[in-house]
Amino acid sequence: MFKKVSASKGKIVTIYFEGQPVQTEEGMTVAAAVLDPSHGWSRTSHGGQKRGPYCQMGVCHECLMTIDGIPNQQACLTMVVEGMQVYRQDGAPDFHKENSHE
Amino acid sequence: MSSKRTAGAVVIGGGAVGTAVACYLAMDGVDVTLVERGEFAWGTSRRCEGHVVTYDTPPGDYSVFCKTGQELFYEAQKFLPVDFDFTPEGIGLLVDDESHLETVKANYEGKKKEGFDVTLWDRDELRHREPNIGDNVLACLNFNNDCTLNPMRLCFGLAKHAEANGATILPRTRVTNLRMENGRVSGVETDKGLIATKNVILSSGVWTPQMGAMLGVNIPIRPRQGHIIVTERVKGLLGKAYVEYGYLLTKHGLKRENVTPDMDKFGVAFVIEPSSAGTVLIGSSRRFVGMDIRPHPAVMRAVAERGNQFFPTLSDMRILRCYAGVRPATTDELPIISTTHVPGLFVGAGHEGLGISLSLITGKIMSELVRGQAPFIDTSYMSIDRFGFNPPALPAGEASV
Repeated sequence: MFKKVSASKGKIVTIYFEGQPVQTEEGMTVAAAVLDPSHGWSRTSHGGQKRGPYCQMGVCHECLMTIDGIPNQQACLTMVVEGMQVYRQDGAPDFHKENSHE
Repeated sequence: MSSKRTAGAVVIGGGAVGTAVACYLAMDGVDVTLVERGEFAWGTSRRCEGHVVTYDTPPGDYSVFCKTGQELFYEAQKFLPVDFDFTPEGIGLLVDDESHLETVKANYEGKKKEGFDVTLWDRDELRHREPNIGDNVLACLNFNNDCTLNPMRLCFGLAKHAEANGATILPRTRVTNLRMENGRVSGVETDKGLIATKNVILSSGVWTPQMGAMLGVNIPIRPRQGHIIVTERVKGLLGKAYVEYGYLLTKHGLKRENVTPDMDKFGVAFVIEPSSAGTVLIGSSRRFVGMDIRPHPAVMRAVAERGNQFFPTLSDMRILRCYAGVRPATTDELPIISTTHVPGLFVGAGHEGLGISLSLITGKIMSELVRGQAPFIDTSYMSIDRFGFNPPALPAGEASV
């Protein structure tokens, strides 16, 4: 369904999607890696529907994912980094008190 | 739409109040047509929070009126064909200034006597229930029957139910003129043709004065702008909706001690509502800047800063968007639910921040007024005549930028 436009090959990096290693290229966004048909979707809405990266430019918030433990990250604005842990979000993430100033 | 049609009554305005009026008229067997120039909830009803409240009235007639209006939502939830995210979890009134505690306690006693389900939490109890609350907050008066809902879904539900009961619903239809014959209302001219009718109900919020002016009726309502910030989605930040006691003070133009000059200038008072989708809505502000609905950064900042004073953890959350709307304000904080000196012309508007809360009861009373019945609850003090016979219209205010 999706094809990479540029032929240039970046350095191969491994990120972990739902715990599974995924090979991708340096310079790609997490959203681009998720768009691979074998992954497809990034989060569920509060009604349970699956949502996937859409606008690819930080506007639609359909690609919110938990990246390296931080929820609600915009996958389309986040570049892949070797060893990155990426998880889908099921509805709204829990608000943890440890995120706060205390 | 054919070029000419007739209706027993025409409601102008497809917001919460207009759709409720059309719904009750249809349920009461009146051949009603609703005219809305855009889509339902096009104007004010999509730029507000969806609170159905009793907290912001001191004990008395109007307090009982609001309570009666609120009860109708518990009924409507059963018959409306659209799930409008009705959440009857109560709303808490937060007190952050010791000098307000006496008034709030008196309010608690008074409301209890009127049969309200209210509870008072002290500082410890509040901290236990809401671990993220700021240390400066002293107490919380809970109105346990207050509720939140999705105003857009409410409008769609009411319009749909009106239609199911025989109403004609005409969105994207602009009123161009109102007609009078032999001293009474005779028709509504729209950009899609004439509707002959003997009854017209103006429920067009901030646009009501320009409708009234078509028949020489002055309606003293002016637009009062308010901002709302929407955060990213989380769950577990807070259990239900809250409002600061200062909201009631700003509503009446009274000063508070512990706010910044900008908060004072923009009428900023803390309101917070968790939505079912996980986003959190934070308000509020009040200023007269005409029909300007552009969000203003200085106001947004003041709203966010006030929010942080009540829930310090908000400063860790991202803002998704901010919007402003204009509420239809009268000069005495009461809506106009009334006949006018022109036979056949009715006004159900000017609810300011209570448009959602009082939408159903306004609809029910308007149906009674149109059918020539006495309202089931006293509304005489909400008559337009309280401002004098055909009082002058109010200036709208100036744009902010």
